Amino acid sequence: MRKGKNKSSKLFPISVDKLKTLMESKFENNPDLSFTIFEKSEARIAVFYISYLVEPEMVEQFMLKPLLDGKSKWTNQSILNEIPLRSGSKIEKLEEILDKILIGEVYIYVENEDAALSYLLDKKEKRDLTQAETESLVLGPKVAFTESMITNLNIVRWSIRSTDLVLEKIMIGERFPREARLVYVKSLADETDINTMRQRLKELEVDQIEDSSVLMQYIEDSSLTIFPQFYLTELPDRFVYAIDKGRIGLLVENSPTATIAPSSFFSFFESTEDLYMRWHAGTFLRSVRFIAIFLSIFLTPLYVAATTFHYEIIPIKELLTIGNSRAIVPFPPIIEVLILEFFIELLREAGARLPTKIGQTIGIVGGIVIGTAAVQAGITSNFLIILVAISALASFTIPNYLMSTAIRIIRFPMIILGGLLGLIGIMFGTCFLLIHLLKIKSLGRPYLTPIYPFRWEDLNKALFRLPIAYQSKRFYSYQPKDIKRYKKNKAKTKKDIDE
Amino acid sequence: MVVEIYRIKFVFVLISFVFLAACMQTKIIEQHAIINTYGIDISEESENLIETVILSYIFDEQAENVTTINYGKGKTIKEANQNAEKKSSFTFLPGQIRLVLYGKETAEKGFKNYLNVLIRDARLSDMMYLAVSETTAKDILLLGQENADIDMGQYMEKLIEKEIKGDSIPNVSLHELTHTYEDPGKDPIMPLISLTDNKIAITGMALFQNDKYVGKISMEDAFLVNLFQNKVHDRQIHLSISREPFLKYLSAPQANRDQLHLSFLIIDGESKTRLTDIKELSYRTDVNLKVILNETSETFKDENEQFANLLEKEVEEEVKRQYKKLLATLQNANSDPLGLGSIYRAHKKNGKLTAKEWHQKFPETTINLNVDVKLINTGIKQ
Repeated sequence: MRKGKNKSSKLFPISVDKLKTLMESKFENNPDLSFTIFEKSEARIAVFYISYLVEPEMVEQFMLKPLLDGKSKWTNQSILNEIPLRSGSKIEKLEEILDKILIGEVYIYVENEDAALSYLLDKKEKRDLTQAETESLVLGPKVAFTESMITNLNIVRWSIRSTDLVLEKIMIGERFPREARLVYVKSLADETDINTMRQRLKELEVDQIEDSSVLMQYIEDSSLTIFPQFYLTELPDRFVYAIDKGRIGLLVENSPTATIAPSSFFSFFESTEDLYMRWHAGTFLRSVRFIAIFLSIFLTPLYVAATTFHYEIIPIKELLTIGNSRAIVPFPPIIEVLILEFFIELLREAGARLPTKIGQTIGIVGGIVIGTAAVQAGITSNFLIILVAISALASFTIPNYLMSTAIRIIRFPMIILGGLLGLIGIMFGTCFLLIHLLKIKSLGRPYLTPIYPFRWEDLNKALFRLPIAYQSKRFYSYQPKDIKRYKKNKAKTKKDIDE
Repeated sequence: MVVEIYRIKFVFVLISFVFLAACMQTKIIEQHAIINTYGIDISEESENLIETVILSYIFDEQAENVTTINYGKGKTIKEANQNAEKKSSFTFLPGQIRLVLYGKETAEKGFKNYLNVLIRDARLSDMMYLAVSETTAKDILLLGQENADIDMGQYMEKLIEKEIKGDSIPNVSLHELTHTYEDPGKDPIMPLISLTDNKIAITGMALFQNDKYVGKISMEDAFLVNLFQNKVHDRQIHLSISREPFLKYLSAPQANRDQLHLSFLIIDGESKTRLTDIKELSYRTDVNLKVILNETSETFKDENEQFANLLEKEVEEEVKRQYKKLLATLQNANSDPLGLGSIYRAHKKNGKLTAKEWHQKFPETTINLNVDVKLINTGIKQ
């Protein structure tokens, strides 16, 4: 569409009336074009804009008032001097006018001049800053990104006030272009990473992108895998945390989520809260999350495998409990588990779609009422209800929603493998999963780093946390230009009190 | 493109593996009877016929009791179990067997042939216990059926486990037992389960010569066997020693008593045995006991250091005497659960020893015992 632009012939000078008919023909079915003609001592000017895209008070006070009150003759130069607005510029091409009028520019054309004058007086409808909804924190900043790019850039700047921070502008979308910003710290981010990301964005040929999560799917390394390869966050806090470690961020106009790349598998289980807590708690909570993944993926498949094939591995007392509660269930364990897991997914999906207030009620009604009734009706055993609840709960501990969803889905093939082949099947599944994880890349970097390729120095950042003094370096795996964050703090060593 | 098609074929083959595997036989727990305990007796009809009594768990809505009992006869244990299965609507699964009980008569003829069924199947736990019943195994297990309030299988398993955990008897799991059975210098030992006052209890330990039941020892002696082999902790012992030397310490000496009964808690007990003379087959055993005095049958007035020394000495003598008595019993039965033969084999020139050879030598062995008792606490008494 934009390609036809350069063909246009010279538009100006033109009479005001002709311009009016021209503009009205361009906006034929668009009643919002405001086109007004003013006359003063035989000179005529046209002022036109899209009414809902501009601030009306600004137009009246700073543009029309000086224009009509001024004593001098109307020429482009005199108007530029008289109107107390900064953004005035001369525009000559019709296509440019049509483009820019849609982002909220106001045009003034003095009859028989060579160019029209444009002023940016756009009115942006935006919501206020609110608390993050999908990623909730106990400690630390809670403000979330909004749909407005200006606001988002503003928030990022709060944290990194340095010219070192680059906010590269890239337009994406052939038909309906949208602005994206490549965010990185020049002195830290790896050149190769920046170039890869820039190249992927520039070579993207799509008509438009709906959201940054969609953009992420266009540019990620492999679209076949179930795992997200870039971290998607709505927390500026989390975003800045990644940027100042030398990673690259991506903001998209009209999207309240930011993308972080490259992201390793383990970074999806990090929360900035680990940092805000003392290191003991940070390490503990992170290990809780890692245990949670295993519970979430393997708990119910193990139940299926054990009750279908490996009754030997169940302790005898537990065996009696499971056996007694399963006695009334008419289905084999695999069907029983699939029914119950599906039920939990239903509950979760219903909770996510409904408004918050009703969603909570549904959770309680579904969880307690249907859960108890299902046992009494003989659809499922008591024991399984606990396991399914634990594995659902465990999947909620993962800080990233995309990863949490991926983990939820992986459980189902595992259950089926466990039900068909027992523990061997689960081992097959685990091996397949591991091999798959080893092959994934995020922005060309291995997904499973620092486990593979093994980097001893990064383990304390990816898997657990150490006291600040031992955490003074950035991730080797992401190869930032400067590896050192700070010198080990010696200030806190005790000094003689007399000094 | 060729690679693509190859890959699709590969994935298709992989997926088909998964679905073909559905033919694998499932063992869904509530559709099976899970054997917990079985007893083995030789049938009265014929020498070659084995009669098994199977205690198993079934999970059935209608069934009142989880535990069921079934009998079967056959030439092998598996056959007998299968015959027992015919009288049940469930298939028996052996993977949770916790106890195998041999009837006394069966044990006397040797358990050798009944052991391999347990070893061959990898699903069977090595931690299961083997025991001998004083009568037939059937009698013992049937009693459980009558006393419906206890679950026989778990009851007996716990009975044995409790004694092992409490350091009263040596470990008698299948793992240990197969090891000692294969070791020519050591004989197996199993708990002896019998009926006393209509209750099932461990009344002692069965002694074996190779695999044949040859006699029994009391639980007190079983503890001495355990002390000989392992370290013991926190185990109560009760000793009766001569009253004579303590007369002057007694606060109110009563007439017509000749023994003093004492209860001790052994905090730490260990022993070490060495072969001192290979020709004479004489051993030296050092037993070290750290004890706390818990209870005395009579009260003392002056518990000073001399009293403590005297007490230690008398207790040492008593332990020594008990060990001598035990060794005599063992030599009489010609069964060596102490493992003296293993020590002998280690010192023998070519290191080879057959069970037959050792059973000829064992009755001639002598042990030079050296017991050291340390009384570390007598409790607060005032």
